[in-house]
Amino acid sequence: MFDWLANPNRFKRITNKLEPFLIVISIILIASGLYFGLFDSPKDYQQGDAVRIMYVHVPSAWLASFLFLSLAVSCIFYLAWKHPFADIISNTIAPIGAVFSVLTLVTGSLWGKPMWGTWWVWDARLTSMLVLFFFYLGYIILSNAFERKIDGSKSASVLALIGLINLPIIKFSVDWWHTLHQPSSILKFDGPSIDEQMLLPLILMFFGFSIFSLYLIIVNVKTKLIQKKCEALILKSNLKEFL
Amino acid sequence: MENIFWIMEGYNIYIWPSYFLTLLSLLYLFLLSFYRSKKAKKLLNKLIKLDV
Repeated sequence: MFDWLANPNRFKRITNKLEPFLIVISIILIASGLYFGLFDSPKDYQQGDAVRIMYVHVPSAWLASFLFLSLAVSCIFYLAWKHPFADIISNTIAPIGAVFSVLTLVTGSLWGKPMWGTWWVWDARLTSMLVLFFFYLGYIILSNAFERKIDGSKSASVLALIGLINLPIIKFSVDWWHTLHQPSSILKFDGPSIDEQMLLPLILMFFGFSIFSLYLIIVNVKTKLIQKKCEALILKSNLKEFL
Repeated sequence: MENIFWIMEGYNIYIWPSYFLTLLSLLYLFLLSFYRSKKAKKLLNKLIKLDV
């Protein structure tokens, strides 16, 4: 199945048709999310208008975690079957996930200041999110740190698998420890406890960000495939000169 | 304080930077991907033309 999907020509053929739809759908979803989040959702009875930061903070946090999970799954495929396409996908996901984890930290900080009176606390949720960002950073640095690309890819993949431990810690940190961060109100076993008018922009933004990320991953994977082809052509020409 | 939309009960200095930074980051990711894609395609065309 993975081999079928990982065929570069097949991948290009499928994604060429998909790309314009993805970008248009993501723009529509994000624009709708912005409209409902800024204009049509109610104020929180305690936080007032400051709750609107949630519509960019929470989707970014979900996506940062989800992208790391995808990165780790891709790394498993790479380590188990040595498929170069899995490595290309992991390399593409990492910087996008890193940007979303930074966005989570920055928007969380901007939300924390008016609500908690501080930009940062070494709270379990905030710290585990910072650790996630360091895992992304570590993956990017490690995959480029070796002269032989394969060594970097293997080490970075192992690091990503270790980083998987952090995902349940992020999710359950608010239940396991006494934290300043509010407990989960959406991804709960007994269903969301948030008002529907607030849930709508949150869901729209999350799917908007997710589809936009998928579009970016596709574009960057295709770019990396072209770069690999260029490298092969350059290498071939150099060898010709040496012969 | 006059309660107009942009002021957002005085939380505007926190809310607008959050949205601005998020949208700016998405735009940055989009432009970077677009630029890299164009650059790679240009190089490939150049190599093909050189008949490497």
